[in-house]
Amino acid sequence: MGRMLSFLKVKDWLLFILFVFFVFIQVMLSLSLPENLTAITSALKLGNADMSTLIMPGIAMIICAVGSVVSAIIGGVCIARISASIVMRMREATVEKIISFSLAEMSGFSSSSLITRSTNDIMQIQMFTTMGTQVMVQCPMLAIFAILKMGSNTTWLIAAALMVVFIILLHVVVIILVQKKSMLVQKLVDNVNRVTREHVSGMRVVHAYNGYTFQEKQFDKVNDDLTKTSLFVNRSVGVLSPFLSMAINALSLIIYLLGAVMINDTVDSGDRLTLFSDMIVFSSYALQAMGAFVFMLLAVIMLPRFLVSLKRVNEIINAKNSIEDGKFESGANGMVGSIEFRNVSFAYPGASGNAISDISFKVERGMTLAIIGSTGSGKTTLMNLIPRLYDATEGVILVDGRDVRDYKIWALRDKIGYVPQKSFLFAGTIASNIDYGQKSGLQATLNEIKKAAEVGQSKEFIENKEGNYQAKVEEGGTNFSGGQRQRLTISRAICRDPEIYLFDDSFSALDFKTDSVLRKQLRSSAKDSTQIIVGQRIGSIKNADMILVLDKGRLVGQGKHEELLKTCDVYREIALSQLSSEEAV
Amino acid sequence: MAEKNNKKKPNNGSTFKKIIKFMRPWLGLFIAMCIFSLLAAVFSVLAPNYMKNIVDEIEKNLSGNIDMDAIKDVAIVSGIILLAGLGCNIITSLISPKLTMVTAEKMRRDINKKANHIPLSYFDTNPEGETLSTMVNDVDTLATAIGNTLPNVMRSITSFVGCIVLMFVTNVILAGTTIVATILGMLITVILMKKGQPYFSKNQSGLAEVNSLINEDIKGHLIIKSFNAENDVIEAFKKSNLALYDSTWKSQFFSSLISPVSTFASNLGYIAVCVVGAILVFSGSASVGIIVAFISYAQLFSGPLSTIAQAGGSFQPAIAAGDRVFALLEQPEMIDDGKTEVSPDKVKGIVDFEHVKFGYVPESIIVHDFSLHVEPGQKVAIVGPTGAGKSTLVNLLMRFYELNGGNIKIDGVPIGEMSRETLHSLISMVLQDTWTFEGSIKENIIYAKQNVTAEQFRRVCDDTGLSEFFEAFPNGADTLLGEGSGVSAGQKQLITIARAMLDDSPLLILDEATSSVDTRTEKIISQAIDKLMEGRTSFVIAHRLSTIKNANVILVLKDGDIIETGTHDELMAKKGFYADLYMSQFDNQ
Repeated sequence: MGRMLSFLKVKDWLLFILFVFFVFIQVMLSLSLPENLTAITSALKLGNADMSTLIMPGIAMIICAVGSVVSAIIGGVCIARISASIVMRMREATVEKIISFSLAEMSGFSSSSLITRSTNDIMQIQMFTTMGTQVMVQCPMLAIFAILKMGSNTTWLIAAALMVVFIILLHVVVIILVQKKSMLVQKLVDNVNRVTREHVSGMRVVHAYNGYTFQEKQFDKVNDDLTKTSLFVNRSVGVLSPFLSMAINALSLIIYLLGAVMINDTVDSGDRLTLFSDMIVFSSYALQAMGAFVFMLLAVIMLPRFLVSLKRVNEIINAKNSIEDGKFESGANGMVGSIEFRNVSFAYPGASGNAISDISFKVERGMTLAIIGSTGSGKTTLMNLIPRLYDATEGVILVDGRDVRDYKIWALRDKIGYVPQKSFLFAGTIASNIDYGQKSGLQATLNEIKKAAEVGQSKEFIENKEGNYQAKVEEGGTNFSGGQRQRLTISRAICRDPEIYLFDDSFSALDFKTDSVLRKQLRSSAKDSTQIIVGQRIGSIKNADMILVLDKGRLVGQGKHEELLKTCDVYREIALSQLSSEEAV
Repeated sequence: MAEKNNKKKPNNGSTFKKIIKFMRPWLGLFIAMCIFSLLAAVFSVLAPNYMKNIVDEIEKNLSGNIDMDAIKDVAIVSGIILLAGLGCNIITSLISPKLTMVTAEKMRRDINKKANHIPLSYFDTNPEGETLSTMVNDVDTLATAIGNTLPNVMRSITSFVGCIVLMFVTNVILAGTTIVATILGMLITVILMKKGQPYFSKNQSGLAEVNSLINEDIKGHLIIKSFNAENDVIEAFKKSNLALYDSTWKSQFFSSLISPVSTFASNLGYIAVCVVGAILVFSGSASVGIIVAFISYAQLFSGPLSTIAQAGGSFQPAIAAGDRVFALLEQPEMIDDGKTEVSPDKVKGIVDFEHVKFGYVPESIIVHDFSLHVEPGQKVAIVGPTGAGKSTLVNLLMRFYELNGGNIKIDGVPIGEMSRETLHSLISMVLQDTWTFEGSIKENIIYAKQNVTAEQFRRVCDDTGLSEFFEAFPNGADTLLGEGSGVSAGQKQLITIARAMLDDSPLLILDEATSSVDTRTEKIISQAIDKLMEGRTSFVIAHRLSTIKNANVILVLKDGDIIETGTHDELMAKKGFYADLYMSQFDNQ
């Protein structure tokens, strides 16, 4: 909560004071309405009223009604601005924080959870800050002043208080009954979504394995769970409102009854008259107070959901970044393009074992380093340590002779052109995707973009496309085929003209021909770049200057193709699985 | 949503009929709900009207003796009315969620079942997200409208009509006054809503934009970081966020006005009642009790009006949602199954493609005249560049699509004459997209197969090398698959291969089945696959040519046509397209 208030600036606090002030006026004015009603009724009762005594209170009532709606409008502007700016700043803080996360924090939260937190949860917070704040300020005020104006008749007050206690108890019982299950509902909806998504996306498998009844059973289970739980929750909450409306009517009835008894017991006719108009006043204020009270309870029901969302968003905002910035902007002694691992080990947060253990190697400028190994052997992990997407748990990684942790992160990543396993494109144009991100001292012109597209083997399909480099890229690049996406992500890295290229199995969607042409052109256009390639195809890595062979996170071979064929069993096995023995040599 | 609504003009009448038809099993429940909510409304109108008798009674004898017995009678009747109202309201609020939930449950179940009978081409042409949104969100919207909004509207209409009747019965002049004043106030609300409308829709689209940016920023996080694009991304986000702020506070402001303005409307009624009532009392044509009752009526009267106005708004999307739900439920189903029974145990595995002609859309035929005879136990490899139509052939064998001409036979029986379940029980299939569901690895491997023994399961895991991985997982084969389970893409592929091995059908289709496993793992699998393929007719699609060198027949496809056929050696000797493709993997100078 405190965290949320810190998003308020001085201006917002001033607006808030203004808001409270106008709510106050609105409450006072709307409460004066019944007073004028009394003036009219008692004038009538006393029988000394003429038209002029009726007109004055009538005009007063109109002024009250108009004044109260005008105050409400002004108050509405204030609170709408305050809550919109809290939410805006909170959303901004959340996104900035997420962007500052390293991969460790990203996978700690999981990306789907980050998305729901920064969209749905923030929506929940927004709904509550708008409606909740208004109710929380206005209703207590209304209730308090209504009670003050009710008059001090103890009998009626006790009756009203008992009714309030009854309503509170009712809500407490329902909230306790429902709370756990209502938190569960969202999860159950997710389950239905998940099973449905699995079903739709696996349609072919479902057909191929006659998985119809299996799928139905799976679905019926989550569907039943959801139905049962939400039925319970909706029913429990639904029952509240009949009780509320009955309670309000019952209170009027009780006030009238008590009034009748009290008036009957009073002898003096003047007192009787006073009691009678007191009764009318009390009952109308009591209704106002109860109404305010009921609204507050509705806000209270919303409160747990709001608090859960707030907590979930705050977890992001308060998360500690595991990667801290260093202070150097360039390598040691003007070194360029060199990478060195010294006894590097890495374990994923929360994992029991190391993903990679005790890796040491060194590559110099202009060399091509290939990393090969079976599924899960730690190839991608090793590569992710270079741009500091994770920090090594043990050992040191040096880029250009300096520990990666000593660099300013932007300076380190300035040196690197990274092509990830999954080709991801951003909504925008082809040009904006190729010329993506920033590199100090680099402002790509259309010519450079074209050049990068050419080397990345994208030129042909881009120039065949309507709009060429300005052609639209949909969110996630869905209007391009897998192979085209991969070529564009490669072009994106080339456009940065980096010292170091990192290719994480980035040629898998290319056919062999394109793959080899691309690599040849890249080598000749970026002669001095250091290239690190995680690959599966022996054919495409066998000419590397150095090959690292990983097995279960350990380095089991290091050298050139011919040496490894002789010395490294794992490598030989991989090679032979792809090439017949005569081709391998 | 708004766009979708425009695409198909919803035919309100027929959708409404369909909804009623769909709800027939619960018609009794629905009618009961309507009756009880009507009753509840009647009681809620009656209660204040009746209670005013107490005030009248007191007023009548203000200077004399109050008739406590009469008051007692009124109180008892009022109490009964209140309790009856409470009872009816409670019954309504127990029935209405039930109705919502059972409708939603049945609708979801029906759609889920329906999905199994819709041709695959439906899923090809309709984005997954849209189908999902119909299955989940639209059903929810529609069911909520049926269960919650409908009874509310019924209740409101009753209260509204009841109120008007009672008011006119009680006092015609005051009734007219209340109605005119309240409607005047309501008009202001309507005008305000109209004014606010542009901001509401701007806020919706702004929110959608910001949320899709967030989505993209999170999914592209890795790239943003490694390309130093943090500042660009944050700047772009701030811009959209700021634009959203503007429409947010304006739309919030307008919606926050509804409540005070409708209070103002009912206050207008209230004042009018007081002033006019006072004049009436003054002239002796009404009692103070009547004024008190009218004050309640003014509130009872404005409440339902705004409920009806709001319900009108929420019904529009519900009808549109219903339209999409029923459009899905009424999709034409796949052509009827055949009747010929073929037992998997007796099938030899002869496959014939006879002059097969096919196009995903009839106007564009991509397989023109394809014939192939495959002997039992033969291995057929299909190669060619992306988009050449490799998967199409096996999809046709699985009868995922209907042919436009020609015939496909297994052991001489046309596949169209078997039931789909029979056909699928003859073929095991492994696809490029590793499909797994949230459940244990074991459940994923066994999937829909019945009566799998522990021994069978263990052997399959050994053969695929999965047993080895199980050691690394905390719960072995019972480890749950899902986000953050630590199971790699390659391991998932192994699971799908194990699933096919366990299925143990006479025919086998591998559609790029080893693309996400590395070559070493692939070798382990390929030994298992080789064993699996012994005696089975198999179709293998692969872009790693080394895996298919020992195929009996290699079909080289380009643009939907077979351009070369033969064994590896024959094709290499031919020095054609295949030889070129094959050599390019060693060409790395």
